[in-house]
Amino acid sequence: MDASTRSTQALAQGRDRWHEHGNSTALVKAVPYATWLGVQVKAYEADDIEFVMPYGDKLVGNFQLPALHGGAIAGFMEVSATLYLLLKLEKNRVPRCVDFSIDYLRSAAAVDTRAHCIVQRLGLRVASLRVDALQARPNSEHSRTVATARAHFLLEAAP
Amino acid sequence: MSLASDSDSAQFHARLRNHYTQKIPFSAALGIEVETIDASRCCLRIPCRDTFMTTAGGDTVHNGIITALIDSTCGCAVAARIGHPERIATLDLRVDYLRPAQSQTELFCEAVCHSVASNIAFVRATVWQVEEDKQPIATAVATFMRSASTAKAAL
Repeated sequence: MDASTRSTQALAQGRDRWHEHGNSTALVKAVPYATWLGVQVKAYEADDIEFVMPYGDKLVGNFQLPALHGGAIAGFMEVSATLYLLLKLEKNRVPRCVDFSIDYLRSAAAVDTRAHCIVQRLGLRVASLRVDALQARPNSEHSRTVATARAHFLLEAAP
Repeated sequence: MSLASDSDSAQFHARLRNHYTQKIPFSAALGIEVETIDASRCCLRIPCRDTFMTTAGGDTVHNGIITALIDSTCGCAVAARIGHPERIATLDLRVDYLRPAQSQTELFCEAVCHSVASNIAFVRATVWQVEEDKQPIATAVATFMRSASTAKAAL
């Protein structure tokens, strides 16, 4: 079995464990960079999912403000979009990102960041997603959007 | 454009090199290194590590690593072109992933800050793995907001 078959199997197993047990450990473990960023998958509202990147010192881009690095926010949003689509797709398909465009709306504070995804279109060959990155406002129950992004994915057959 | 003398600008570029590899915690954690810095272009590289892979045991580097490298290189190119400490912030960044980045090989990114206005700087970037042919893996465009104040410039 080659490397890409093994890794697709790990993703598929992670997806099954999430759907069957609501446990995301195997799914995140299947994506090493998601693990490095500390990404967590959580059930959100009725039947949706949200992603969380807890604050970590290594994610900081400007230690004087302090603010999270734009690359950390973008990477978190890319990981979220890919996992979200993977969880929404049928079993025999895996997404591959072809482009990613991010607008930074405000400086991301040194706190936890959440990501919400929306599938704008799911076609036979390509999917378009929107991702918003949110942070809690200090002394408020409301969140604010720190960045918004859109991404296109090619939908490939799992080997 | 900077009015700094050559020695001033060499000194500033040396500070930038240190800043973009050591002083930014995220860049230091990723192991980003500066290859070249001058007022017209910057080149940064990132090592290939198992923790950067798309899937465990897989053979491609995660797109998020490519984006992180691009964001850092573009920021460095803008700062080098401005030529003095100034706080800059990424406004937007668009990346096209032309082909998967293979594991076992470091990634290079070159960014050119081709235009600087009073408030905004415009950048183009290319990522490759093999130095011999520099066949692009990803291309990107970004815009940065300049801040007139140097009060919170991190270097």
